Formats: sequence, C-alpha cells, structure tokens
Amino acid sequence: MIFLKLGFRSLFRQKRRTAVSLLVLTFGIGCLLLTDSHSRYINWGLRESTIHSETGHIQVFQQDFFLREESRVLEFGLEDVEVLRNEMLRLKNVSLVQARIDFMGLVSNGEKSVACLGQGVEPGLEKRLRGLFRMPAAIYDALAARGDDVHVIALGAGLARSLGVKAGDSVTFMSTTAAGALNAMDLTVAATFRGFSSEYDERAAVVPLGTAQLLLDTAKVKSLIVTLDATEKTDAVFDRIGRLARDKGFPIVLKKWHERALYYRQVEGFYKQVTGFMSVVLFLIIFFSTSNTILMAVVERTPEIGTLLALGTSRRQTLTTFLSEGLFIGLIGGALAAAFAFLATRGLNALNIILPPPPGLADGYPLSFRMSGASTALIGLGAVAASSLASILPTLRAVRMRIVDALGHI
Amino acid sequence: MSNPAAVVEMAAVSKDYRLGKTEVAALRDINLEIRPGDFTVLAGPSGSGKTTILNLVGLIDRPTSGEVRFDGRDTVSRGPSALTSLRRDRIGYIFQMFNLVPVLNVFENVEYPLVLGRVPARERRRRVLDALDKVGLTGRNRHRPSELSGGERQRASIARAVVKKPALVLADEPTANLDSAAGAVVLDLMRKLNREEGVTFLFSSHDPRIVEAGRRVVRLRDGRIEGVSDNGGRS
Repeated sequence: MIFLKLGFRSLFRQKRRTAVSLLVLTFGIGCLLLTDSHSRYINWGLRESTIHSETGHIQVFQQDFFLREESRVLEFGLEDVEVLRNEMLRLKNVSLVQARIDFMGLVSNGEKSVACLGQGVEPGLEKRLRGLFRMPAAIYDALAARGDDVHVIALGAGLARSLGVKAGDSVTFMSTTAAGALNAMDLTVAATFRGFSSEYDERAAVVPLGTAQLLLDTAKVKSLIVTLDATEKTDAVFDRIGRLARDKGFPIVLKKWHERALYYRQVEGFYKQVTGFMSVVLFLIIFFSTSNTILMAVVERTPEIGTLLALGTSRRQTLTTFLSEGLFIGLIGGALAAAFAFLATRGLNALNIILPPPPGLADGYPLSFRMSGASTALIGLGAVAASSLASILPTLRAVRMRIVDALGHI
Repeated sequence: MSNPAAVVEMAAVSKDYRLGKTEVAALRDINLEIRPGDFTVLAGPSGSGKTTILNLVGLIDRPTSGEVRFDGRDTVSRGPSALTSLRRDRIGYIFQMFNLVPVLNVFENVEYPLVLGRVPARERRRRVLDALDKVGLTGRNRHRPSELSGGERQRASIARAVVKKPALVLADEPTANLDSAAGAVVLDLMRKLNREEGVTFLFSSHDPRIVEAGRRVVRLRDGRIEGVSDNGGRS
C-alpha cells in the first residue's frame, strides 16, 4: 500500500509534466474513443439500414437456390410461401416476413429503353421497415395507393431522369417470363426515389410484388425476408427456423443477413482498419509520453531510490512504486478520456451535423456517435496497459542501479 | 575468527574504485569491530575512506577483498535479497542530506521501515509516536519534510533510523549540513539514544567537536586506519 501511495503522490511532484502526460493521454484516448464511437455508429447505421432495406435479418430461399445456376428466372424460387410465412410469423422475435422478387428488364418511355434492376415488393410491409438510409415511406404509399391496380412503378431518380419521366407518366417494362418468353407491361410512374447510392438510383425500379409476378408470369417469389425485433436475436431465430423447416419438411435454405451484406462487410472492415491504425499510433504516442515522464522522474529521484533501497526496500517494491505511477497516469487519463469522449459525443450528437456524401453516394450522413461501454472499457484498459508498460524500462533502469551510485547521484 | 559479541567485523577489507582508466584504492587492509552499545566515530579528512567504510558496513557496497561479517556471518557471499533483509531489519541509516521522502509526512517517513518489516499497524503507530517523542517531533508528525528546519529533518531521520530498533545505526556526517546549534542538538540526541536506549552508533565526521564526542575514535588517512583511541565514557 505504501508503494502505491508513494507512486500516487509522486504524480504531483512535477505537476506540469504530469499534466502534459495526462493531456496527451486524455486527448489521445478521447479521440480514439470518438473515432471508435463514430465507426460504431456508421457500422450500426449501415447494418440496420442493410437489414431493413435489403437483407432482413434472415433470408429464406428454395433449397437448390445456391447449389445450381438458374437457367430461367425464378427457376429455384419459393412456391406456396403463405404456409411458411405464417409458420415463421408464429415464432418468437419474428416481427415481419415479406416476399421479394429480383429481376432484370428494360424500361422504356417509347423512344428510349434503359436496362434496369427491378424489385417486386409488398409495399404495405416494406413501409413498416425503417433504416438509416431507407427510402422514404412515401414511395410505398404511392405504390399501394391504387389498391388492387398493379400497373404502377417507382423509378430511381437517376433512371427517371435518364428516361425523362416523372410521377404520373407512363413507361413500358419489358422482361423475360419464368417460362422464357418475352413480356411487357405498361405501368404508371407512381413515384421517383433516391436510394443509398447514385449508381443504384440510375438502375433501380420498384414494383408491387403482384406486378412482378404478372410480368414474370409466375406465382413464385425469389425469397422471404424475415425481420426480427432485435438484430441480436438473429442466431436464435435462425436456429428456430432451421428446426421448423426440418420438422415440417419445408425445402428451404437460410442465410443470415451478414452473409448477404457484402458492402456492409467491406465498410466494417474499412473502419476496423482505420480504428486499428489510429489505435497503434495513439498508443505509441501515449507509450512514449508516459515513458518520458517516468524516465524523468527516475533521473530526478535517483538519490531517493538509493535511499529507499538502503532502508531495505526490495527492488520489486521499488519497481511497484514506479510502475504504479504509470498505472495511475493511465487510470486518471483513461477516466478523463472517457468523460471527455462522453461529453463530446453528447454535444456533437445534439448538433446534428451532416457530413458531405462520400464518393458514389447520393446523400450526406450525420456525424453521430454510439459509445460502447465494452469498447470504452477495452480502450481504457489499453491506455492503462500502455502507460504501465511504458514505465517498465525506465523503472528497471532505476532498480538495477548500485545503491551507492544512486545515493551519490546529482 | 569471528567475534560472536560483535555486531559488525571488517577483516582485511580493501576497496578499489575505478575512475576512468585509473584504479583508486579507497580502503586498504581495514580491520574494525563494532560491538553492541558502541558509539564510534570515523574521523579523517575528505577522501580518507569514512563513507566507504559506512557503505560496506551498511551493506550497500561490497569490498574488493576481505570480509565484512554482520552478526558473525559473512556478508560478501550473500545474495542481494539477503542483504536487503539485513538492511531492512538490522541497520538504521542517518544521511548527511537527511534523505527523507518528500511526498511522505514525518509520521509516514518514520513509519516506512516498519511497513517494510511488516509490523502490524497498531504497533507501528505506537512505535512511531514513541520515536517522534524521543526526538522531540511529536507536534510535527503531519508535516512534510519541506516544512521542517534542517535540524528537525535530521531528527526525523534519526527517528526513522531507530524506530525499528536496529542492531546498528550508521550516520554519514550527520551534522555537516546543520548549523552548530542544530548540530549540537542532533549529537546530543544520538548520545542520549546510545546511553539510554543502548543504540549502537557508527558515524563519520571531520568536525573536531563532533569527533571528540565519540566514545571510540577511529582515525583514517588515505584509506588506512591511522589509529584508534578510546575516549572512555565521555558520550
């Protein structure tokens, strides 16, 4: 205890030097926490957006979908999905099950045709989804506004601009049916939308599921998208649906959202690399700053070290004293950094700052932060470890000194 | 042959230092014995070897040749942790520059050797207060060393040295940094502790007035013992 007391009180001998070390540590770790919190927000936002606008939490496919290449559209689509949908809706934590069809085709204004990626959705269910980068619910309202009339389409803003059409205009959609024949439908543009990226907007078209099935001349759907009340329940529900399929003999295969979210995985990997690189740089700065502080303390207090050793203090106890100084710098700096990051994230979140859109994306995104207790604790522990480790070398130098040399040191 | 009655014995001890490429003989063939209750002063000019003897007896340095026996046992062959234990349990130090720990108050400084010796807290408190009372610092126990005069600091240093009831207290020029009045107080205190408590002192000085106070005076010159005189019971 006396050695910890000595270490703690020694922090206040050279107040300015200790203050500089603490400032370096506080701002270094604080900035790292801010970076981590922001990347967490981006990952969280992108994850939820990806789940709620694209992948759902779990995707259900016909069992051969990933085993063989389709020679015709929806060759390995799901049939009679209502029984399966109702069974899944009865499972705990399942909040929504919706059907989707993805297909390709040409959309034409009569003079010009543009290749596009079509998606058949259930507008009433789709509008219940909300993600950070989700398309506005108004699109689905517009698609559903005509009730049973399925001759409607929503076009990406870039695609509509390319065709020179707007809401209320007519376009012709051409595609290949499930049997391989050519089919076309005249559709009214119900709305235009801006999606997650401008490239997507230039190719995307959304139609009601019935429109897609009519155009493709099939009753099948490509997949069922299962949305849960919490992303953390994905594994548990995945297992439950798997058991359900085995018990009831549904010929399906399941995929978790993470497996179907390539872009999310790339972004997550990118932010991990950025945060990792920053961590290394900042921990090195903390390491050398603390090391310098302790080294100076050792040099200045060499006669005192000699005195303590002469009085019968063991070298291990002397080591404890100086290591504890590094430890206290880490603890105090880590706590200050956590407080700084907490206040800064609260303040910046309240300011609602919108950052400019990254290359290839249509809209800016908010400068927001999600602090994680576990991550803060981990980074804080890292700071404590870095500053403690930084104390080792200078302290070893102190305790290896001959006592008579230390006592005579000026 | 070791003398079982002696606290410390130096037998044919020499100590060489290397200054750059030059070998300097700090001590030559020193034979010295300190018995319990001694009040021995090492006298001699600067460079005569006083501090080197104190360092060797205090087990913070090793001789180049010869033996230093503590409690009848050779110390030269013993490992660092054994020497640390001997210093912690058997030897008290009084330094010329006081060497109190600045971030500890007077009480904590005096308590420090007892903490090292794992003395229980209640016993520590009793012994520290007793030691502070003996050196006349009872009212100053919460003060930091920087708040004390030189004389008070040295008295605190004496309390720290004697609180663990060591077999031997070493003092290197204990009055050299004090004015004559404060020096006299410190010397009187050491004599009193020797006389009344039986504390064994080995200290160095080149001040004739301090040297005269020693019951036994070991005169050194150029690393050799020039003579030993016994002042009888003057301390």
